[in-house]
Amino acid sequence: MSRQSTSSRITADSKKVNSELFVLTYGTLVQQLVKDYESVEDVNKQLERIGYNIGLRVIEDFLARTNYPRCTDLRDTAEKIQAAFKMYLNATPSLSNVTADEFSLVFESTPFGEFTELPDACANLKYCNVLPGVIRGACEMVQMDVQAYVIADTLKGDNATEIRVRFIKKLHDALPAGED
Amino acid sequence: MAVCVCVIGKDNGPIYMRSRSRADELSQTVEHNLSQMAFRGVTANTELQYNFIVSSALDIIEERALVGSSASGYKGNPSLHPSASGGAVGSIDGQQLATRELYLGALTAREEYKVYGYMTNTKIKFVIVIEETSIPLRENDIRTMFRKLHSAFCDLMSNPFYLPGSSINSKRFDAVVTSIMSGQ
Repeated sequence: MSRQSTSSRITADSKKVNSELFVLTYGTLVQQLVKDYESVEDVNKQLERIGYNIGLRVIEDFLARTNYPRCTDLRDTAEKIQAAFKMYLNATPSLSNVTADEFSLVFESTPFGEFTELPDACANLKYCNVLPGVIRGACEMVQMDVQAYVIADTLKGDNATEIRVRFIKKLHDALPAGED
Repeated sequence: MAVCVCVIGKDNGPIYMRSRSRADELSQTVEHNLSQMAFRGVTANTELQYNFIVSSALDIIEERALVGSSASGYKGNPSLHPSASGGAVGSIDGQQLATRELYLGALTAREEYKVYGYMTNTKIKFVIVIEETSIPLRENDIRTMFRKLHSAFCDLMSNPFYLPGSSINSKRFDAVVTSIMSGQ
């Protein structure tokens, strides 16, 4: 990556945060979790929970900004999630393996993983595990129970990073989040 | 042709070393041995030799850096001086502000080797040993090598799992060093 162009990027858009700053921040967060928890599985779980909490909130902002109507089917939902990634992370995942109740979001490289190299001790770490959490949280707020998980990761040598989302059921008269 | 690439930390301890005799292997074992090297001696003779060359270059780096920051004129061998533009001086309100050039130029020249140095503003030193061949490398090529190395080092520092100051054990960094040593 080129650091020569940094000075021009600083002045770019005051409303946008520098992506390197963001990547470093996220990296520090993950690294701190790895330090604080004994097992990598726990770290994965914590990341997912962080993401879930983000999802609960970010969906509100997303709907307010986009004014999207109700989704008709899962493909519709998938496309909206895709749009959300473009909007918030400037990442454009592609959709693949879309079935009636499942779909995949495929990223060319691991989001936030620009500089990361997983140490051997963290071979099972799902570095971008907040993202499935965000999807789960956001969908829950619009009465959809989904399961989302990382099934491929470029940091582990896969060709692409893939997040699989499975629709489980529609939530009827669900309690507001946080009260269950 | 670069035969040895070495990264030296703030406190002058080596944090990465790779020489051509091991270029095809990953340098893990090399790094591992580095700390003990100075005391116990090494089986690989060439490695020891490179280690010695790099260590002796450190003194010169220190001297060069001092010259750069005090901004006094360099009175040594002009062919070893890091180019006329190095160590530019700006004088603001009587206070001397020196912008040191990171590239330190050729440090020592032996019969078969030339040693080049580069020091970042965070006092991380890069040393590259070049084997003398019939076709001399141009100054610009050396600068490019160092810039590549520096950029790779920046990326390495951005890796959240790398502890600053610890020995480098990164595939990505290895790949860059390999490309430098194989002449891009």
